[in-house]
Amino acid sequence: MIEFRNVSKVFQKNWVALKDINLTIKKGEFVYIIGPSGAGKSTLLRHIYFDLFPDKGDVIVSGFSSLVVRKQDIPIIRRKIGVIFQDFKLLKDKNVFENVAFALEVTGTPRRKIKELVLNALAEVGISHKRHAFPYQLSGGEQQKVAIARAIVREPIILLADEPTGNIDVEGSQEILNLLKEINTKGTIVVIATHQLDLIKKHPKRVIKIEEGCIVEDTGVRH
Amino acid sequence: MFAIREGIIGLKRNGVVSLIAIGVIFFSLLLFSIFLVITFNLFGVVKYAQSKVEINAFLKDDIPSDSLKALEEKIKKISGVKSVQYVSREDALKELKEEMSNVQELLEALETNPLPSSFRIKLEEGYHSLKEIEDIAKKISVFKEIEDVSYGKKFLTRLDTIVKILFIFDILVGLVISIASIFVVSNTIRLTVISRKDSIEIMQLVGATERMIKAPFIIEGMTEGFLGSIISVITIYGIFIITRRYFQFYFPHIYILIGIVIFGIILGFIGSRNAVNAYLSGGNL
Repeated sequence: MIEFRNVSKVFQKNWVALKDINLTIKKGEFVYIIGPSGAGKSTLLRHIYFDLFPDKGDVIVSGFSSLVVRKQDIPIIRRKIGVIFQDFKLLKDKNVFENVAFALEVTGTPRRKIKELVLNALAEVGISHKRHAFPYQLSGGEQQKVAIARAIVREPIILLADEPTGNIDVEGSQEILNLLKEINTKGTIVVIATHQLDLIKKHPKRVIKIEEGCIVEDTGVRH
Repeated sequence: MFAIREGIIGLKRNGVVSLIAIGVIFFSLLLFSIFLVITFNLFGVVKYAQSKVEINAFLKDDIPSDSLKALEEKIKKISGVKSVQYVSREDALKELKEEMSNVQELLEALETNPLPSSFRIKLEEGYHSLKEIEDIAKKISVFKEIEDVSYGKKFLTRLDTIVKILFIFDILVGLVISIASIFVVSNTIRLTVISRKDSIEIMQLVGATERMIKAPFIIEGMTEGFLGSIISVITIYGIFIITRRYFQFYFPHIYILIGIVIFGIILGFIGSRNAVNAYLSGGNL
């Protein structure tokens, strides 16, 4: 499902962000990517949704290879991948419902289907009651739930989370993690980049540790 | 549908920036329109002056009336000649007396009529440039009955130079205003694009196609172009209404005004397309 073959990425000034990464993540897996800031966690995630391309090697996601993927295919791939971030990336001038609906509108989903899909997604993350609220009226945990609803509204096969609990209190973080695990039980690959090791202890899963662009540890699949 | 709705919402959402963009388009097109009106009027003056140009072909004395008739027909056949009017010696003197009534006594004192008879030749529209008049004059002067041909060469040469300078100036100013407008509009709409970078980022993230991302901005830009140009056309019309009491000038045809509006929409289109393309090719997620 996700495969990295000898992937290297060099940014300007010879800064090696990823060094010869080999990695396979199969359908239904739940993976933590850990490591200090600047180790290459986000860079690795960005390769999965084809926001970055390797300088060497090949990234294969859901049958699309970074070596041959065409520019016009990228939107199609991204519709199968949900991404959430530490800063939620919600539109401030749209309410909860509109924020989730936006992801469907811009990809040409028919209007009558949008309402149903959005309400389902909001129910799944448990934030239906706040669907008319604006992001500034929500707590960090609630905002992240909205971001998750937006990420899963199209039922993606992969959900990427870049420091999803970085801006959220302990209780909220637990909720978010439970939510991600629940999404995973339906078969969606979940990849979380984090440096909050306490979360991992409470919810042990496969852990891949990166340092200076190299994988230094991979626990393998844990159930 | 989404693109149109988002484009219109965008106009409201970016109130100030949109107003600036509309203002810039308005101002550019107003300048352009004023320039256009001035040009039109200058050309109008030139055209009027040109239409007044006539060739006087002075005849030798004592030409029999049937060969006079034949000559008139020959001149009429020259391409570009609109009408030929025979002015007899007596008519010429009468006209001169009318024109110079202040020196009537002097003319009355003339014992003989010193004026020759002539043909007064008017030209077709489109035969008013110096070269064409020169050509026609030359063709007329070869007839043996013709003593001399005059057509205000000095005046015409000057007029011709004015037309040439005006034409070059016109193209230059038009070009400068167009390029400057596109540049300014493009930069103004870039502000709109930058102010919405969050929304672009999310669109890219959730898999919106490039066309879907661009469409709202381009519609927004075209709407701004439309509004700006409409206001400038109304303004120029207002100026016309107010000033026509003091000046009598020629106002451009309605099609020109519609043309200005279309030009404004094209400006908005090119400007916003440039801006959004520059942003999308330069900015990563």
